[in-house]
Order: sequence, then C-alpha cells, then structure tokens
Amino acid sequence: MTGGAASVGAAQVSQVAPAVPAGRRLDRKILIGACLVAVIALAGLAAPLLTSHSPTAQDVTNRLASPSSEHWLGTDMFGRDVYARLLYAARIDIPLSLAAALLPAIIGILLGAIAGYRGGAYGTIVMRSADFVQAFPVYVFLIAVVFVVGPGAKSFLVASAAISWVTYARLIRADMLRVRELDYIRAARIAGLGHRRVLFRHALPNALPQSIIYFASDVVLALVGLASLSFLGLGIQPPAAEWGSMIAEGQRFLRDQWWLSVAPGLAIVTVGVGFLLISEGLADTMGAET
Amino acid sequence: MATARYVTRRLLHMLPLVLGVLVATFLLLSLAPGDPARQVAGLRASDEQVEQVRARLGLDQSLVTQFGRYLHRLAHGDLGTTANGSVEVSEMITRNVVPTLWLITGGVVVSVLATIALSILASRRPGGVVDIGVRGFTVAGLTMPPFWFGIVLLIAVAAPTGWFPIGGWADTTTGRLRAIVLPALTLAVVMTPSLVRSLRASIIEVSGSDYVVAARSLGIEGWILDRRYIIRNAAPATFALLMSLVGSLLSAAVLVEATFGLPGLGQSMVQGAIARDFNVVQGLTLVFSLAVVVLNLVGDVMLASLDPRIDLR
Repeated sequence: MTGGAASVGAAQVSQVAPAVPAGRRLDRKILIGACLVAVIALAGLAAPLLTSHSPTAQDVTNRLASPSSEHWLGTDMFGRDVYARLLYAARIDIPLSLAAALLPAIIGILLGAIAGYRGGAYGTIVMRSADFVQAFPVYVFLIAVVFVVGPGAKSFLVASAAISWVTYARLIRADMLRVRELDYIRAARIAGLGHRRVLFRHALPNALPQSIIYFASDVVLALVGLASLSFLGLGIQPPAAEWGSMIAEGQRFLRDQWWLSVAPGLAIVTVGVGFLLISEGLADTMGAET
Repeated sequence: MATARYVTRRLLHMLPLVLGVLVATFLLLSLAPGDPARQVAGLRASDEQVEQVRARLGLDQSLVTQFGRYLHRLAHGDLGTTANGSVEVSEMITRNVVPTLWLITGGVVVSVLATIALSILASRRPGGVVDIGVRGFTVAGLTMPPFWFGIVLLIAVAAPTGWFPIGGWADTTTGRLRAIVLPALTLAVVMTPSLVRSLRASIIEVSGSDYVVAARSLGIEGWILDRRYIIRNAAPATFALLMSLVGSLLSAAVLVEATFGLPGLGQSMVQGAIARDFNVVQGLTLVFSLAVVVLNLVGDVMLASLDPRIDLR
C-alpha cells in the first residue's frame, strides 16, 4: 500500500539503524516478531485441533452467548462460535495479506530495476505512472477497483498489485541508480556479460535489501487494508470468517458483547506488531552489514 | 514573483496528472461489468427501450466522443444524478462534505498538538522511559486498524461515560463538537505515529546544532528555547511529511466515517460502491483524487514560504 503508513515504512527503512554490530540484541526483534506471527498462523493451521466448533455453523437458539466453557469467546449474532471464527479467520487473513504484499513486490521490483538500470524514456514512464497511482487516496482507489472487479479476494489482490508496486519501484530504482555506477558492474559489462545477466545476477541482488525490509512492513499494511475493506463490506464476503468483517458484525453489539469486536482486532494487532518487529530487525541487521 | 512562477510551473506539471485522473474515472464506466443502459432503463425495459436509453446517454457513440461529453459535463459541474435519480451528485457532495471537513480539521488539530507534545517529550532523553513509551505507541498506532481503534474508543469511553454519542452526526454546533471528538482522535492515531517519528528525529538533530548550543550558552532555556530555536527549525520537514500524508488522511477519513456513522464523503463513496451507484463512485473518485493533487501543491507552496532556504525554481 502506498500512502501514510507506507511512507512511515519507507521512513523507517531509510532510518538505518545505529551501527551496532549485528549482535544478539538485534536478532531478538526478528525472533519475537516471528514468534508472534507464528503463534497466530499456527493457531489458524491447527484450528480443527484447537476447537471442535465449525466457524460457520449457526445455532439460532444460542445467539450472542457470553463466554463459557463450551464457547470460549461466546457466540455471535447467528450463534456461531467466535473462538472458532477467530482461529479460522487466520487462514484467510495471513496468506491473503502475504500474497497481497508479494504480488506488488515482484511487479515493483522488476519495473523499478529496469527503470533504474536502463533509465531513459522507460524509466520516465514508470516513474510518471507511480506519480499517477499516488494521486489517488489508497482506500478510494481500493473501493473503485472493488466497484469494477466486484468484492472478494480477487479484487483485493488486483487493487494491491495496482497500488503497492509504487514504493518498491521507487526504492529499487533509487538503489539501482547507485549500484549501476559501481566498479563491479562496469567490470561485469567489460567482461562481456549481457545486460540481462548483469541486471538480474549482479546489480539487482545488491539493490534488494531495502525492498525486503519494506516488504515485512508492507504485509502489515496489506493486512490492515484487507480487514478495512471487509469491515466496509467490500472485502471477504460472509459467511467466511475474516477479522475485519467480524469487527464490523460485532460493532452492533458493542455495549454488551464488546469482545466480539475487540478480539479480532487484537489478532490483527498481534500479527501486525510481529511483522513490524521483523521489519525493524531486518533493517537493523542488514543496515549493519552494508 | 518567484512564487507566482513556481505555482504556474507546478500547475503545468499537474496537468498530465489531472488528465490521467479524468481518463481513469471516465474509464471506470467501461471497465465496470454490466450494461449501464440496461441498469438505468430498469429490469423490465424492452430491448428497444434499452437502446433508446443508450442513445439518450450517448453510450452508442465512440469512447472519444463520450470522453468529450464527459469533460463538457464536468466543466459545467454536472456529475450526474444518484442511481435512483432523486439527487444531483454535485449537490450530495456539497452537503456531505461538511462532516468530512469537520473530521479532517479535528483530526489534523489533534494530530499536530499530539505530535508536538510527544516529540518534545520523547526527544528530551533519547532511549529513556518516555522515549520508549512513545515508540511503543507509534508501533501500535501503525498496526491498529483505524476502525478498530474507533470501536475500542466507543466501548471504553463513549458507552460507559455517555459524554459522546455512539456514532452519528448532529445539527447543532455543540452536538457536532461532541460527535467529532472521538472520530478526530481516531484519525489522529493514524496520522501521529509517522509525524512523531519525523519530528522527534529532527528535534534531536536540531538540538545538537551550533546555534542551539550557542543559545544555551547565552542562558536561553525552557519553552523559549524549544519554541523559537528548536521547533521552528525542526518543523518544516514534519510539515512536508504532513502534506504528503494528505492522501492517507483522506483514506483514513473514509474508514473513520464508516466506523462512527458520519454522513460524509467517504461514507457516501462506500455506500455508492455497495449499491453499485456509478455516478456516485465516479464523482467521488474524481473529487478525492483532485483534492490530493491540489493539496499537495498547496503544501509545497506553504512549505517553501515556511522555510526560505527552499529554492522555488
């Protein structure tokens, strides 16, 4: 995603860590972050082992029940088990946000790499397109794409690909402009290697670290974007369990069944903090290397 | 004079961008699935009636002709009517822009105040307890979905105290002030983290500069030192960031309006998309993106006048 949080991600990327030698303190961030993500992801994978309830089975005689030994987080307005929905939602939210971050990363890295390496008219076209995409507020763009493609996972992926490539393209292009002037690139060219080989085997790997760091924080933006779209009723459609739509459903009962909205939000924040910590840890270690 | 020339050149730079936005919003219609003529004519219309509607709307002509008519309409401020034909979209926008402006004004005021306070506190002792606390807040603010934070405020503040309405809008100014407090706070939680990071870093940088050391040695301290020597020199970078965040401010406003049931532009856009109301989605996409383009320009000009070191050429 581009926009506010994106520029925060970028700011954090450029804020290269204090030059502490890559030691234990730095790896701890990645470790804690990975643990947070893993706990929720594994809970999603192991959902059938952790609960015997189905995330979609309705029980109209037992609507909006309070937490009990049978229903750990109570039931929602259709009598569905909230704990089961919370677990199964991880199966949608985590893979989909990873995909929604990976797709634009690949597009943006390719476009940015070629734009930076070749420059010229091609580079101008890529960067002008980037300006153009950024003229739209992210959610306005998302809603417009959903309007065209129709609600669901597909339109979310299309919209993410159309929006988020911009940051990667800018990061990679900037690094590429620097890397392509370095001696070993000249040497590789003089040695007779073709442009394609030099670009992808020699130049690109050295321009990648910033994008890898940004990727980890972009997953957070994708996760929040997916939840937001579903919250608005334009993302994952019911009855599938998804954290954002669970929050929206619970909002109607916030006076008495407040946990219906609070619990899915905590899941999002846990995964989000996990990926941000990974991103910061990567920035620290990779920053110390270069 | 330099300012006038700068603004003119920036306006010329903006033209291709504006044209692109116009083309994109125009193409929404041809990209969207379904036959708009049939939608307007209604389900029970005969094929002949549908063709009549198509001709009336000009949909039987080439895309270029249609684009020309679209521009012609826009030049007259005509964005079409809502799907049920009862309200002009332009009228709906002028009506619903009011809560949005309240929300954005409130959100920016709270963000700026919170940013200044938190940055000064955090930069006092980098690495100290307060600094770490502020950092924790910025990380949490980044990962919290804004709508969720809004709901938590409703649960934890509005419901038990009754000080603020549980969503909705009001007709009186006092009612509006009460209705906007929690939405503005929610918007601020989205905006503040990146602003605090930026201002905190600038303050630490400026605090170590020669002229601040000189001022200290002359016995200038406390609020005067903070305000006249440090903030004033640290602010422009953060201000530039704030202006570049205009897009995400509007984005967040869409979510916050939906959370608090504010009848603003974001809410209209979401409802338009759900109801598949073409003119509403097209008109609002246009308004939102033009707002971003124009506000970015305003921001650049203001930044240049804030910091005379910035060259306008």
